[in-house]
Amino acid sequence: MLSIENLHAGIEGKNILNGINLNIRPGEVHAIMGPNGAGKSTLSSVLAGKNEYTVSQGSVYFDGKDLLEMSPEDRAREGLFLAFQYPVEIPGVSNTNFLKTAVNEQRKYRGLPPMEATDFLKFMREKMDFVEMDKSLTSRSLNEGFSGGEKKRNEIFQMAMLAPKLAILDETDSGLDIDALRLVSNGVNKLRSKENAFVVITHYQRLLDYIVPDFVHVLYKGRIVKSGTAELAKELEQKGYDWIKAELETQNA
Amino acid sequence: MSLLHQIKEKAAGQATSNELQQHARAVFLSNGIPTRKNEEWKYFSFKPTFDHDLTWVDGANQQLPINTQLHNIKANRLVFVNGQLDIQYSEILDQIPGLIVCSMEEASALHGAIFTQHFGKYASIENESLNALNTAFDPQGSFVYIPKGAVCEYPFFIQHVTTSIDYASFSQLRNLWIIGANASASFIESYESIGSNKCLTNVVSEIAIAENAQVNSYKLQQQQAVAQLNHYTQINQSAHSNVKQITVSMCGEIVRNNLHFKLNGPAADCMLHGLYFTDKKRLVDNHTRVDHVSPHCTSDEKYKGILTDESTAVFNGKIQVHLDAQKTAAYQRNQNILLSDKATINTKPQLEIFADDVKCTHGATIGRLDEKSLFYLRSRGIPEAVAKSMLLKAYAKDITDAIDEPSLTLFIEQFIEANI
Ligand SMILES: Nc1ncnc2c1ncn2[C@@H]1O[C@H](COP(=O)(O)OP(=O)(O)OP(=O)(O)O)[C@@H](O)[C@H]1O
Ligand SMILES: [Mg+2]
Repeated sequence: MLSIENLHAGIEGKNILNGINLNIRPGEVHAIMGPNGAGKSTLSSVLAGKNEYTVSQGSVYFDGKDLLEMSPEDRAREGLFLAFQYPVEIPGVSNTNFLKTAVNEQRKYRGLPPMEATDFLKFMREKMDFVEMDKSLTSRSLNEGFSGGEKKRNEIFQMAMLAPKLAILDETDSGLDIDALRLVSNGVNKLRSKENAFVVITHYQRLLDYIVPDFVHVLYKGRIVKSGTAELAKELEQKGYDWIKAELETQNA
Repeated sequence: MSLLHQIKEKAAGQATSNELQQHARAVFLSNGIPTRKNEEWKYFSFKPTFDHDLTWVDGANQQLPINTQLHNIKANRLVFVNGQLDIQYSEILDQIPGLIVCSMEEASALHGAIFTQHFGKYASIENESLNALNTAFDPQGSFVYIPKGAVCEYPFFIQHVTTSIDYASFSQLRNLWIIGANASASFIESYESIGSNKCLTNVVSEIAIAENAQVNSYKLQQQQAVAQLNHYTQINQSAHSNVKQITVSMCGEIVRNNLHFKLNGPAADCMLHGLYFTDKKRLVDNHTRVDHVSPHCTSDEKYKGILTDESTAVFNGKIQVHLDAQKTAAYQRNQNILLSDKATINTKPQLEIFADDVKCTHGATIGRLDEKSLFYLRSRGIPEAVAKSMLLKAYAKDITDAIDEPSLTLFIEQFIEANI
């Protein structure tokens, strides 16, 4: 579904990603862990199409299509979704209107007519219940004044509305209370199917108790330096990253 | 023949016994068209336009298809073509004893006493040469007199259409609205043009608002891309009156607004908001002035612009707080979004405060469309153009939402969607 090969990217002459290789097949859940500043969010931004980063080398194919050639909106309409680590607040754009536009633009792209207003509201209510989102949030401006947890929940709500093929969750668990964490995880688990895949970026093993990954990768200095199963996350939780750094140093020596 | 030359010939050829007109002609002829040497006209002048051979038109010599897009708003409607009332499109719905809604010609002929009591009494001509020019000849345009205590159910919709179909043209318009004590009314004005030749329209509006009256006034400037508009508006408010004035400049080659408020009685409040959109090489210049003459008055000013291409906007906001105007609260903000590197905004607050117990704030910002927000919307599958117009509508929202006429708000939002 997604194949990343030797991806190098950076900003203003600074290299951040230094040769990422990653293959994701339908039905899989990949967790990416790694210390602060390793490049996890940069990787998600590059995949979603943020143009401030320049890709200097490598390729990314999404369902056989050259992802890097596509505009951010086309990537989304092809089925890529990024739940942002820091969702922006957009005053003056109502949550509902935003979602209606997003859903209908996606339908248009797929040759479907726009949803009837009542159908849309019904659909929205359904998904809102799904993530137990407070109804009052949808009539407000997009993320404006939302608490940290409410913003994250809103990301998952949007994901449920757009039903992506590949969802990248960038630290969606940070800032969530224990109930919300369970809720978000349940949301992801319910959306999991043979057809779609998830990339879960997190610092905490705790999330991976709820969303059990098929693979765990460690990103360090812009590269995936270790990959394993869910066991690897547990090991990291106990031992931290120092042993991996040490391993790398001996390799390089 | 240059327009200026035609004006001089017209003044010489049509002698007048009207003292105001005589005086106005003298002022205009001695002061001439302000040039860029004049501090108030720093960024452009209409002088080149007056040197052009524009033909002075008044009235229409043919029936024209009028843009009826906003006629869905139930309103007391007056439609003027080059200053001449077009009865076919006009109608008065409010049946209020003493209410007068008519053309200037009719007002001066049939309601002479009220007319002369107010006409030319508010808009100064001394340092305003183009006002002098406007006052120098018989006025054409709208006259509205709202008696004391009248609550008007429908807005007054004044549509001014100027034409330059066969040749470049010049016309002058005048509005005089008198709102009695305790009355309440809304106004919608639309300035439009038909024709692809150059045209210049010189407008003066005088609005006199008595004690405790409530007025909402929305001004749409949507002339053709070749049209130039100069609009001077003087609003005088008495004690405890309340005015909301929103100016939306959508199109036209050059738009110059002078909006002057005079808060003449205690506890008079005014809100002056504006939105301007400029593209290509167009220019919109908003000069505003609020005179706080009396104590306990509030003025709340907010102008927002969206500029693109090589266009220019000017905002000059003067607030004068007179010696006796204690407990004044005056707020002023000017915000701009530049969508291109070649667009220019010149913004300047001018505060002159002579009282000591006042609250005054002002601020100007110039920014771009927020890249992070744009990316967020696009990352949800919303095309760039749609995302931009969503963000611009959101930016304009506090102004468009202040309009208590939903179809007008929608009209402006659709304009943003379609044009930016
Ligand atoms: N726009 C930017 N301008 C300058 N430097 C940047 C920018 N974006 C990322 N970086 C740098 O790139 C590196 C990787 O950042 P990134 O946000 O991808 O890390 P991360 O792995 O997501 O970290 P965290 O776990 O703290 O979220 C950091 O050193 C960061 O400062
Ligand atoms: Mg990050």
